[in-house]
Formats: sequence, C-alpha cells, structure tokens
Amino acid sequence: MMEETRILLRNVGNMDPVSVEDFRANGGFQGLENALSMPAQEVIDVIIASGLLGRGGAGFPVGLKWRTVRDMLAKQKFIICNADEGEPATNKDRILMRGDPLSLIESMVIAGYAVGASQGFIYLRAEYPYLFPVLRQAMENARQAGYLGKNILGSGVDFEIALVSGGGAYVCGEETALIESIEGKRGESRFRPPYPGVCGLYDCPTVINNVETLANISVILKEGAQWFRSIGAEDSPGTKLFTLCGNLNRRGIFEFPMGISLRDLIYDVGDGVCGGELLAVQLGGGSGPIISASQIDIAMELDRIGPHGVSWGAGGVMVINDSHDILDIVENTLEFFADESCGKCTPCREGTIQLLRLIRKIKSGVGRMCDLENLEELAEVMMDTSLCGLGQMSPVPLLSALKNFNEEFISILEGGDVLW
Amino acid sequence: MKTLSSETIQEIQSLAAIYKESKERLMEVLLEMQSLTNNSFSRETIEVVSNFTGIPESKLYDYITFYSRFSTENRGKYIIRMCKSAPCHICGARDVAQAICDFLEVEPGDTTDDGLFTVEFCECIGLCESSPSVMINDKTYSNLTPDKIREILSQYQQGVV
Repeated sequence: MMEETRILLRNVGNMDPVSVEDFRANGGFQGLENALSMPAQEVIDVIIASGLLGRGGAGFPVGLKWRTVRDMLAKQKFIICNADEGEPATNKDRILMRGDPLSLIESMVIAGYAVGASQGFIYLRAEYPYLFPVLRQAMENARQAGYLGKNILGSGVDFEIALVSGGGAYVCGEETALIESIEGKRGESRFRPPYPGVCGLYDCPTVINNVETLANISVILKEGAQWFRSIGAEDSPGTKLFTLCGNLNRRGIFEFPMGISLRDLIYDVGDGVCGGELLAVQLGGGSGPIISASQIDIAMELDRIGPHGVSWGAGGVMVINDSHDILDIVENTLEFFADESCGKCTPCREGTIQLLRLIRKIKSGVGRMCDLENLEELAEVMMDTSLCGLGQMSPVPLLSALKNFNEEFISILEGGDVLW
Repeated sequence: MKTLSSETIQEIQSLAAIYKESKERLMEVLLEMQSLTNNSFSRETIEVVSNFTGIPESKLYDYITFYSRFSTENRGKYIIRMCKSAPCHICGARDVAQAICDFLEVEPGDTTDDGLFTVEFCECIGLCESSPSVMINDKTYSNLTPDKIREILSQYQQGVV
C-alpha cells in the first residue's frame, strides 16, 4: 500500500490519548506555546498564510473566518468545535477524537487566543457516547497541566471548554442548527446572513470549525505556514483524512496529501473492489455526488469543483460494486434526507419526501418520462431555495446519478408499463 | 396514575440541578433522565422534569420529539439501533436487521414482550469503515453477519453482557 503522510494521525495509536506527558513527548503543545508568544493578530496571519481550507464539507478558508470574528467588537466571543459527524461514509473525526483529543484541545485554545474568545464548546454527537469520557479526561488532564482554564501557561489568557451532547439529529452538523441545539432548542437552521462569525451562539461572534480542521491548527502553529503549504496541492494545501468504506477489500481511515488520485485510493489504498466489479463511487458522504467507474481518474483537491459543482469536502469515499442497483442507492440516500430534514423550510421538508416518492415510483417500474423532468425541476427548486445545506445538497446524489447513470433510469422507464 | 418512585424523582431532581448550573448540558441531563424511566419520557415524567427545571412542558415536548435519541413510548432495557445508511446498506445491513427481528420475533420499532429489547432503525452511527454495524445502548458491534448478531443477542438474553 502507498505510504500515508500521517500528520493529523501522527499520535493516533502511538500514545495514551489522554496523557499530557506522552503528548508533550511527541511535540504536543508546542504550537500553543508558539501562538502565545506572538500577538493574536499574527496567529491569524499564520493561518491565512497557510491556506488552510475547512474540512467539514464547504472548504471555506479558515483564516478568513477567524479574521471576521477577531475584527468584531463584542464582549463575548465563542469557539465551537463541530464534532457532530453525522455524514454517512465519514468517521474520521471519531478516530481523531479517540486517538488524539489533546491536539483538538490545544487547537481550540489557540483559536480562542487568536480571535479573543475565552469559552469553547465541543458539540459531540450522541452516537459517539464512548468518546465523552475520553474528551472529559483529556480536558481534565490539560487543565491540571495548565494548558486549559485560567491564565494558561502564565500568559494571562483564559480559555475553558464545555462538552455538549447532540441528540441524534444529522441537521445539527449544520452550523446554525448546531448553535440552536447548544442554546437548548430544536436543531433548526437559521436564516443566513448574519453568519455565525458575526452573530452566532447567544448572538455573539462565533468561530465554528470541524474537528479535522481544528486538528490542523496546532501543527501549523508548530511547524509554520510555509511547511504546511509544502504539503498537498497548491490551492488546497495539507493532508486529508479519507474514510474508505463500502465494497472495498481494505476499509478504514487513511491520511494522504491533497491531490491523491481517486483511482489510487480505491485500487491501491483500498486494495480494490470486493464482491464484484466497480459500479459507482459516492464522494464526500451521503450528500455527495455519485460518479461512475469511468470517472475515477480525478485528483482529490478541496478547491476542485466536482460533478454538479459540488466538492467532496468531508472525505468520504464509498465504493459500490455492481451487485447493487443505482436506483436502490439513490433511494437509500433520499430516505436519509427525508428522515433527517428538520422541517423548518418547505422546499426541504416537502421536497425530500416528493423526491423519494418519485424515485420509488420509477424504481417500481410505473414511472413516466415526465417524472424525470419533475425530479430535475424539483431538485433545482430545493437547491435554490432551501434554508441550509441539508436541503440544498440533498438532491446532489440523485442529480449526479441521473447524469452519470442515465441509461439505468431510461431503461427502467422504457422497460416498464410506460405511458408516454 | 403515578408510577415514578420517590428514588427516581430524587434522581431527576439532582439531574435538574446540573442543568440549572450549566444550561448547555440540557441534552446530557435529559438523556440521563430518560435512562432512568423506561428509556422514554411519559407524560408524568415530563411533568416532574418541568417542575424541577422550570422548562414549560410544551417546550420539553417540542425538544424531545425533535431529537431521535428520545422517545415518548416506553422502550426496553436495551435499545438496538440498526444503521440503515448507505455504507451499512451496501454491506449487508438489511440481512442483519432481518436476523435481529426474526431472532427477537419483533418488527422494527417494537419492544420484546419481556421488556429487554427495543429494535429501531437509525441513520449513520459513524462506524462506516467496519459496516454493517449496530449499537446496543452505548456499545458498538461491527462487521456483522446474521450469525454473529444472533450470538451477540443470545449473550444479552443470558445476561452475560
């Protein structure tokens, strides 16, 4: 197998995850020490210079997000770590939090110092109950050693982290729904703007970053922006965690520089397809595009626009063999979104259900050609008018499958009892 | 009819005190309360929780009916959450789910007559690299086959887990 570039995973499996001594022996907290030795503005300059893009899905430049919050005049600001990793086919954050929680804590303290926030939150999904004690212990140990709490390392900087539980709602991975949930409400998305950087948790300026994004911070502050830029692709620097799952001989979480080819991920890292030949790959998770076997010669870079203008942000690679029917996969993803829509906005609440009904109709052999047009028109309305990413992205698997597997749809429609 | 014991009410009260101290722990506190009361929130429990927390009953209903970890129907001691999201689905989750339902003689959503298990479908539980997976309360079980899950369930029935 190709050799991994283990930067984010450097400590995973190599040390007692909650031991401050082990962590320090592996170079831990040097990033924080460096950060505290420079003015806060400079920390943001380093992150901007590093070119780090968010790893949660959208790929937004992290330094710019932080600068917005830094520039806001407010009595209180917050840092939120989005650990509500609900996207099917991605579970990299679970591995990071279980194997190296102290890196996450270190990065959150750096973020707090950089933007002027003294309180952080980790919003951890309820499906990872076994991670709560790990994170609690890591926070306690960091606090005892002076890396968390009041007057961190004698710098006069205070930072505290609270651990908040999710309740089993995918939509809470969306930043404004997550904020609502921390505030003790139903996790329903907010209208944007204003964005959380301006008006977030309790209406205060808030940085909200994914676990993997934050995990990059401490190492960038330790090794420098130039070092970070030397890894990966020019416009998409650093490494990426990939979750290889589905019908592969070797599954798991792997770390490679940005720009690795999808073919290599499947045939080298994943050791090829099991149970049949390659039919399709879904990239980036449940809301990602479904591409065909002939489309896998692409470089995995965050800034590269994928099929239908959607990037593969969260790093899921779900490989589907030819024992499966593409319509069954599409139906499964649409069921997911119909289940998980929060119900606040009409295009998503009603649209996800209507898409599911239409695809079931086609799948059962009683569809008509006009159903395809209706599917596309409805999908377009949902993408244009849904309140948040859930509704906007939910038609992506369907639309990409319609484009990349058009013959399957047509042959079912033609083979059925079709009324033209 | 009042069914909550005075001990349970006391435990609910002490959990409510945690919430009053730190409001962002609402979810954690309610999840813990739920585990004390048949893994569900009955009308009576809601009343009690509302009295101790000061959260109106309507708001509590609003909240717990949104999040899938909560239920207003009594559930068993062990909740079996069977993942049906795509990475599990394409690796045999349907066969595993069928094996669970057949073995326990229930339909998804049901609770066994002995009150030991409630069987539910759920969306992604983040164990995609080792699918198909299920969770039984807080424990995870991965790379499952119908045979494997039957063996696991019989261990639960014999009380050896």
